[in-house]
This record gives sequence, structure tokens and C-alpha cells, in this order.
Amino acid sequence: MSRAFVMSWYSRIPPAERTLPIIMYNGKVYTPEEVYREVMAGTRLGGALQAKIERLRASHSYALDDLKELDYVARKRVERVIKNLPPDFSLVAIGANGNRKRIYKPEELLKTRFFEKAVEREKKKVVELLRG
Amino acid sequence: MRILFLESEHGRYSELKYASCVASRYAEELRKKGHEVYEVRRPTPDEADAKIRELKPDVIWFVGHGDPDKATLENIRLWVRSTNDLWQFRGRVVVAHSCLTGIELGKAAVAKGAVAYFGYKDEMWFVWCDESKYPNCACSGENPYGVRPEVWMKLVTYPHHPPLEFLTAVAEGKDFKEAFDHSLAVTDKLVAELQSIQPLSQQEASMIKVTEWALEGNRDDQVLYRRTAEMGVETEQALSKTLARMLIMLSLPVVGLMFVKSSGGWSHYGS
Repeated sequence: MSRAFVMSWYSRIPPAERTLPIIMYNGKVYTPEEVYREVMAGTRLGGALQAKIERLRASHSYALDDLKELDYVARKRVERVIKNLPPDFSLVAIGANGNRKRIYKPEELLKTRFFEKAVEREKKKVVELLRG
Repeated sequence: MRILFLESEHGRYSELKYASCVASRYAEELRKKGHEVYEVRRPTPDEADAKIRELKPDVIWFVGHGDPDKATLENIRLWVRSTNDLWQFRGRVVVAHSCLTGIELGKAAVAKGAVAYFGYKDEMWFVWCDESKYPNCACSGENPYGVRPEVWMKLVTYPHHPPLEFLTAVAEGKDFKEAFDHSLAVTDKLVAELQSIQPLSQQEASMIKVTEWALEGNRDDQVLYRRTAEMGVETEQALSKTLARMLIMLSLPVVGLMFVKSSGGWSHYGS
């Protein structure tokens, strides 16, 4: 994958997605913006990230370790989105049970099924963005 | 077609108003198309029952907090539960804007004579403002977060469109499966629209993203039960389709994800 290819890949990523984690390398997550910056600067890290993206783009199937990383990256994405919400922003679920909580503040969303479902969606999104 | 909207507003707060104000707009459109449309605001269970007896609607839409086996109306007052005879739904199409009733109540409703029941198998999520501080969030672009009014309107109203799109499609003469698929397609369109918004800040981007998740999560949990000619009950679900797409994308083995149809019994998508 040439530097021009990375530029083209990056340009196809919607602006709102560029600051969310997309890949994991050596235990750390990187956003498209960070990948782009490193690749353009020609750093060793940039080369490693580029190679990893290239491998994942070409893969028809992911190894177990890749899937574990995908899950981790997706969790970090969801956490970051929720962290960026206004503190008094709320989501409601209209369940009737008197004991069930219905209105969730951002920090409370992290412990809900909503969070877990969002992680599943973001896994799909990451794969789309990598292959985009 | 005669359509009855049971528009609750208060649960614990005014959270039900968010769906009701969107429903009211759909009601107006349906009226313009020549349907006989009735709206009952903030109904008690007795008022809802009386209106159903009086009007004999073909379709009932309601919003209220729900559980697998029951649904409530204004002020979370219990209205129907699966162990009742559910006369209210007999011979009618029911659209339940409510959490969880797609697990049990919907199935019971159709088994006891409803023509079809659209509901959710899990919690149904949407965006909300603290009403005590921001009373006009539901039906206007006003919001406390500095989000552009036209964007805010999308965030607060979009999660409520799919069940109402199902209802509209039924009123337009589509069969139930077509109407159900239409509501799924509308959800995908709304998500795409949200994704096309250029956010002005990370905060705005996050609010948009969370609304997308709500829409997509709700989509996967929507379910339709319908009466078959053989007097069985058929089900349509969206979740298996999404899971299938995800599994295929990751090239994992997909076994048993196929349409199964059986006369007089359950029919469903998914494994």
C-alpha cells in the first residue's frame, strides 16, 4: 500500500470517524487521523500501522487475535463516543418494570445492553472502514 | 381505514411525549390521505378501552412503557397483559411503541385474535432531555446542547419513525411483510442521513452516533406477529438479517440462517 493509497483511504473516511480508534498495534489503539499522520511523516510506527491495515484489508477472514483486537477497538470507540456526550444528555428506554431504570446518563450507558449492542455495531463499522 | 392513536405523554416524566408528537404528525398525514384517524391524548386504560369500543378501529397505535407480558399507558398505568383476553386487539392491527412487548404480549395478542402486532423484543431507545429544565425538546429544535435545531429535530424524532412507517405502509395497502420491510428500509435511510451530517463538534458527532446506535438497535429488536390463513402465527424479525451480514462480512461459518416457513405454526427469519 503506497502513501498515496493511505491518503485515498483516509479521504474516504467520514470526518466524524477520523478521531475514533480504528486499529490496535502493540497494545495501543490508533485513530485514522493518527495513522495518516504517522504514515505521512514516514515513521516506523506509520509503516507498521500501514502494513497492518493492508493485511486486514486483504483478509477474507480474521484470526482469533484479530477478532479480539477488533472487539477491543470497538469498545474503545463506543467509550470515546459516550465520553464526548454532554453530561446531562440522556437516552430513554420505555420499559414498564418499576425497578428497571429508564433514563440513562452517559456514564450509566456503559453498563447497559445498549453499550454491548453498540460495540457489535462498531465492530462491523471498523471492518467497513478498514476495507473502505 | 380507521386508525386510533393512543398518545400517552407522561411516564415518570414526559418521555412518552417524544413518540406521541411524532405520531401526531403521521396522524395528520394519514388524515390528509383520507383515512379516518382519531387521536386520544394522555389516555387512561378506561378511556382507551372506551374509545376502542366506540370507534372499532382497524389499527391501534399506542405508546407506553412495556414489559414482555404487559403494556401501560399514561402515567405507567397498566393497560393490557398477556394473560387477559386482549379483546382490545381482536381483529385489529396493533403497533406497540413500547419496550419488550414483542417477547410475549404480541404473540399472545395474535394468538387471541389480533390480525398483526408490531413491537420490540428488547428495550426501545431514544434521545431525551430533562423535561424539568428543557420542556420543549420533544417537538421542536430547541435543545440545551447548542445543537443546530434542524439536527436536533432529527436526533429526537428519528427513533420514533419506524413503527409509524410500518403503520403508514399498512394503511397504504402494503401487506404486513412489505410494511415490515419498509420500516426496516426507512431505518437504514434515517441512519444514512444521520451519517451524512457534518458535525460541528465532537460533542455533536457523539450525539449523532448514539442516535444511530439507538435506531439500529431498535431496528434489530423490532418484531411482527401476524395471523396466518391457517390460524397460526407468523413472525418477522430484523436481527438475524443484521447478524448474517456481520457474520458474512467476517467470513465466519453461517449455519442455519435461512427462511423457514411452516403452515399453521411459527415462521421466522433466523436460526
